[in-house]
Parts: sequence; C-alpha cells; structure tokens
Amino acid sequence: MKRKLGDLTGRIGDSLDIPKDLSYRESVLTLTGSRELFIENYRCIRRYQDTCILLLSKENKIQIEGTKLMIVYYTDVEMKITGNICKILFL
Amino acid sequence: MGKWEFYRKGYVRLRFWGENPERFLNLCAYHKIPVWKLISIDKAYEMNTTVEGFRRLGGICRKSRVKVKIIGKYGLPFFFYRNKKRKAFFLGFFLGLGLLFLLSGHIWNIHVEGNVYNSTQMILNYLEELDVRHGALKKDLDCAYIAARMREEFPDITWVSVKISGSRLILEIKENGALEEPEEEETAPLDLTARTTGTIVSMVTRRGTPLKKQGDTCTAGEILVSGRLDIKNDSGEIIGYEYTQADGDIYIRHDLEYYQEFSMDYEKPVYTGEKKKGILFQLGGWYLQLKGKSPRESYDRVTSLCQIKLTENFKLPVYYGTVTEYVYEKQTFIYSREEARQKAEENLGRLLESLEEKGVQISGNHVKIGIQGKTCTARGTLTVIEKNEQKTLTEILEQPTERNRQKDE
Repeated sequence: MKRKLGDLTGRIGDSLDIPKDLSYRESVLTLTGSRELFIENYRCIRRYQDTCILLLSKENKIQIEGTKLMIVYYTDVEMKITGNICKILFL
Repeated sequence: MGKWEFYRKGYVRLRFWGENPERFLNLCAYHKIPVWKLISIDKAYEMNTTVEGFRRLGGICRKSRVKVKIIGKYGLPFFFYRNKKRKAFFLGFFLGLGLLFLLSGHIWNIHVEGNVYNSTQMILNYLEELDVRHGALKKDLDCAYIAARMREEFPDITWVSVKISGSRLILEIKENGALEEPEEEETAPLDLTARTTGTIVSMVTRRGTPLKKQGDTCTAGEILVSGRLDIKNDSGEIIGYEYTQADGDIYIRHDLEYYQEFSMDYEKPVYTGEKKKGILFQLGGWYLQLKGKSPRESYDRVTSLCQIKLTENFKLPVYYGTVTEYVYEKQTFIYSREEARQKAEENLGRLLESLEEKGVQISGNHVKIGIQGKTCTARGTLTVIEKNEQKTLTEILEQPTERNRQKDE
C-alpha cells in the first residue's frame, strides 16, 4: 500500500518535472573518480568497516566496497566517503 | 561549521568499541552531534566530535552499549589550558600583536621616485617641514595636500602622485628639466669697465656706446662701453641722454705676475707598516670606540662608517664601522735639482690648466725656474687674454635744458 502511494507521488512529481530524488525520495550518489563519494537521502548506517560500508536508503540497501574507506563527515541526511572505492552495489 | 570554528571551540578525538557501533553512529546523526574523520581500525572506531557533542554522548553510549575513550584533545581551549603556566609567552604574543597593530598605523618608508633634478634628501627635508616624516601617523597625512604643496615648492615638478601603500608613502614625481627661472631684469643703467690694465684684443658691443676700440690700451676701472646714449640735434648739440645696460664681449691682454718658492728639503710621512684596527659605534653625538691604545703618537686614522637603515630612506642616527690607525714616522728628504725643477713645472702647469678651464688664453709664458741654495724659485710673468669687463653703475647726468624753453621762461 505504502509502496503504491510512493509510486503515485513519484508519477505526480514526474508530471510536474520535479527532480526524482524529491518525488521518489531516492538517494543521490555523487562519485568523483574512485576516491570520493557523496551520498544524500540515506536513512542509516547498517555496517561500517574499512573495506565495506552498508547503508540503508528508502527503497534499497547501498553497499560500498573498497579499501581504506573513511567517513569524512556525516549527518542524518548526507555523508561523504573517501578511500579507494571499488564497487557500489544496490541490494 | 568550518574547521576554524571547531578549532576555536575545541574538539576531541574518540575511540569507541562495543556491541552496536553502527547504532551509536546513527544515534549521533539523529541527535545532530557533529562527527567527522570517522575511521574503522580493527574492531574499534575513531572519530572527531565537538566538546559539546561529547557531553551529549552519555545516553547514546548506554543505549548502544559502546565504550568511549578520549585519545586526543585539540583546539584553542585545550591549547590555553595546556599552556596556562606560560603566561610570559601569551603576554609576549599579545604584546607583539598589539605592537604590530600600533606600528602599522604609521609610515615607516618614504619612497621617492622619478626625481632627477631635485634630490631625494631635498624632498625629504621639505616633507619634514610639512610634518611628514618617518613614523608619522597615516591618518594625519593628506596625500592631496602634500602633492599640492610639493608642486608649489618645486616649480620644476610638473606632476606629483602621493599615495599610501601599507606603511609606505610613495611619491611619484615627473620633472620638467628645461624650466628656467625667469631672470629678474635690472633696470639700472650699467657701464662696462676694465677689470685690469691691458690692451684690448677683441671688442664686440651689443648695447651701449663704445668708448674704446680694438688695439687700445685701457687702465683698470676705465669705462670701455658706456651705458649712456647722447641724443643730439641736427647741429650736433646734445639735447638729452638716454640710458641703457651696456653689453658686449671685450677681451683684454694683460700680464700676470707669477712667483712661487719652496724649500729643497721637505718632510714626508713614511708608513712603518704597523696598524691597529678597532670597532666604532656612533649614536647621535656619542662615540664608542673598541680599540687598544695607539702604539705611537703619529698615525693616520681611517674611519669607515655605515649608517643603519630601517627602510630605504629611514636612516637611524646609529653608525657602526671600523677604525684603522696606520703608524708613520716623519722623515726629511731633499729634492734633487731635477726633482725640484719638475715640481715647480708641475705647480705652474696646474695653474695654467686651471686658468684655461676658466676660459683664459695663455699667449705668453715668461716664467723662469732657478735654484739658490736650499730654495727653488719660479718667477716671471704670464701673458693672458681673457674676458675682462665688469659692470658698474652709469653716472646719471642732468638732462641739458633746451634753449627755446629757456627763452620762453
């Protein structure tokens, strides 16, 4: 039911040309090469190790794999990660 | 919050470990506790947080069953706390800052550029009259006023720009070198008179009545060109006088007496090679000399001083340098006949050179050098041709009365 409501608001947003991160409440990932990742609209941290970070977003899980991963800063809505990023998975 | 804000308010680096570190992180985000530089090391984590944030961590640690340990304290509050015993350091630091602030309100360098005809020192001296000197307060200086006064004082300065840049006062000047001061015209009538007795070799009269001609002899003080013009009527009678400033070039040949004698024996200092060095400091009129006692009474002292400059033109009345004393002994020598003759000729040659530099032509040299006993004598006459007139005031005569007018009366 909740998912259907989300889809509906998303479609309304599409018809009004509202960006998808607002209409579908999707996460926005900004990747700079393989050394810096900026994530907006995530919900919480599920796991944090220096080789893997697992985040929950509204729709799915985002898994970031790499080495020497460091969270430069984070707040309840955004996070900046640096290190050698190898993989980003949507689970 | 920027890095500086964190540093100003102070922050701590924490190490935490426990059952639910992820929950701990999520709770920090939920309670809006700033967290940065978070890394995972083995089974623990390290992160930075503010002092205020650290104080709010108690409940979060309990809920997430995490243990926290401070591993570093950074920022100004911790810096001051650590150095609370070093009062002199802070005093010096703030005193230095205050001094810098105070001194930056003054002018410490006056830079003058573009001046060729007016020396920098001359301009600095004039600026000092305007109370613009090294150390003057910047807020007291009015650049436009200084520029205007400079243009008034130095008429050959055509353009002045005065600006303050930091602690420098920069004066950019453009000069007009061709500007000549207007000569004040004298209105008093003048005669040209001979300065010495002699024969006129050449005479060109530009203004006035010539009383002599080329080839005439004249005595000292005699009028050569008169500044009075006689106005005559048809019958050749003088009916009036007009006066002018006589002008012309008159060259007179005359003789100059030359006599010089000097003794055949003379004293000359002979340096022994012994010298003594010392250091000299000068502060205003006070001297401090760091040197041992001179070994002899007769010595030549060579002093080399350097003035201390704070900036380009800001010179302090403080000098430092070295003093070297060269010891000598006076010994008596006797000129040989050849040497004496050579010396006499050199002296005469120097005199002739100096006369020629002044524009005097030497037309005859009748100087004879003779040696009698212990004296060498050079005597004779030099015949010279030189521009030899001088200006004297013209005698003003009473205007002759007209005969007709006398009859009417």
